[in-house]
Amino acid sequence: MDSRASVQARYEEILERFLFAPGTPEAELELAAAFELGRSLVCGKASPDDIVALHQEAVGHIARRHPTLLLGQIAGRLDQPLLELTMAHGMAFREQLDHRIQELVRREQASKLEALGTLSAGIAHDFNNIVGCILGFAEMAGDDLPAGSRGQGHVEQIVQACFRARDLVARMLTYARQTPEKTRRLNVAEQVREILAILAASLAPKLRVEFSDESGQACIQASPGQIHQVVMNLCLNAADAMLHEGLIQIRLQPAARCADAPPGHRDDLCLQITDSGPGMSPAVQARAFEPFFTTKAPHGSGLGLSVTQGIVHQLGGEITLNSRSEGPETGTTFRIYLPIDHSAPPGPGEAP
Amino acid sequence: MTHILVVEDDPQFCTMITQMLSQDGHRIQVAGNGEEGLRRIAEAPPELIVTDILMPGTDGIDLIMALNRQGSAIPVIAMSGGRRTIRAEFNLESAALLGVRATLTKPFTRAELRQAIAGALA
Repeated sequence: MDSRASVQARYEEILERFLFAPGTPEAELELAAAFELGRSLVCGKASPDDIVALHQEAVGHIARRHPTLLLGQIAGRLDQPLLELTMAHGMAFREQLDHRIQELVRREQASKLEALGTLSAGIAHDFNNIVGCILGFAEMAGDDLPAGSRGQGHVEQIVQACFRARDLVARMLTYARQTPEKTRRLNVAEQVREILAILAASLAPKLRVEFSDESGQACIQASPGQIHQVVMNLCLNAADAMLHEGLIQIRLQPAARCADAPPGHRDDLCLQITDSGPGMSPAVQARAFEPFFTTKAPHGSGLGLSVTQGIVHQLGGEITLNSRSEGPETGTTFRIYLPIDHSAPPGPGEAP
Repeated sequence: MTHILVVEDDPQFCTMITQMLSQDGHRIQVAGNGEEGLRRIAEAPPELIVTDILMPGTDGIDLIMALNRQGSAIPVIAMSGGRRTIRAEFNLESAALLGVRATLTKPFTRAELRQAIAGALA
């Protein structure tokens, strides 16, 4: 990013050219340049106050370089570039906002689809057992009833309904398998930073988030949506656990440094998310990944962690849970182990 | 009449299949997981084993592998309804690779169960 001094110098150039060529096509170009500069400033998080300060300083410098001109004259003539700069502020803000909203909507939809897939796969086993029971008992009841009786007709309807339920689960599972997220080579640290920027806006003011990146730019194969959902779910859980005050520590490091890395994952990348909340009892820990299990009733769906685990498994990774609910230091740590992508990064000019 | 061991962790499903097989005149023993199943087999070897695949602890695949290691010749029918990220077909394919006589995808009909048993005992 440009240093403040070089931005200042560029803006002064623009102003000077504009000042000495009023009403010409060149002046229009200078206004456009001011606008672009303003936008890049805003994208670098400049506030309207920063922009006004930049302008005033530039006007001051120009006035000193051209003692024959009155400061009032210069300032008056330079209203327009300042207007352009501040308009750029509004425009860039709008663009960022629109972009953010689009991204959130897109991610929410992707999350819903993923949740459906993971959910349907998650309940398939229980559901098939349940339908199996209904089907089996119904058939036995039907066989016990007199042939051609009304009761047997009703039972036959139950059997047909079981077939429909079986087909429905099969279709949902097919759907879940047919829509795998398109994965690509992803720098996890970059993704985490992006997510934290979004997350920061929704956290209580006294909740702090610390991110320490020791990943050495390690990449994994995943879709941004998958990583987003995993990190977001775990961070929001952490935030919920701490209510209004506390610290969420996120750490990205080679799994080799984690003493309890599960077998087969010691060469992975480990994403660790720790909260300083009250921790989970052993009973809650045992059921934490179970679909529909929630401690946040009636608001929790009980799907966050099961969906998170489903995604981590899809990525060939593993998720572990450590929690301490007694003693002076309580809290919960989730570690996600994800296989590192050792393939060469795409070179310049190649499609990512 | 065949002496059949049913290994199934879902109690209601276990009741259902037990009654279905009893009505067909078979003598049934049940076990709630693979470990209990292996104990029952050691006590009184059945003529046929019908086992679920996904069970907590020693699952159906463990059970079949243990039987294979023991050189058991008891025919096995594997049944599965799949689970999160694991398709029923995957479990049943794994079981088939281990040499089970027949596989059943839950939910199945009485006719499918009878056919599987006839095939396994043939």
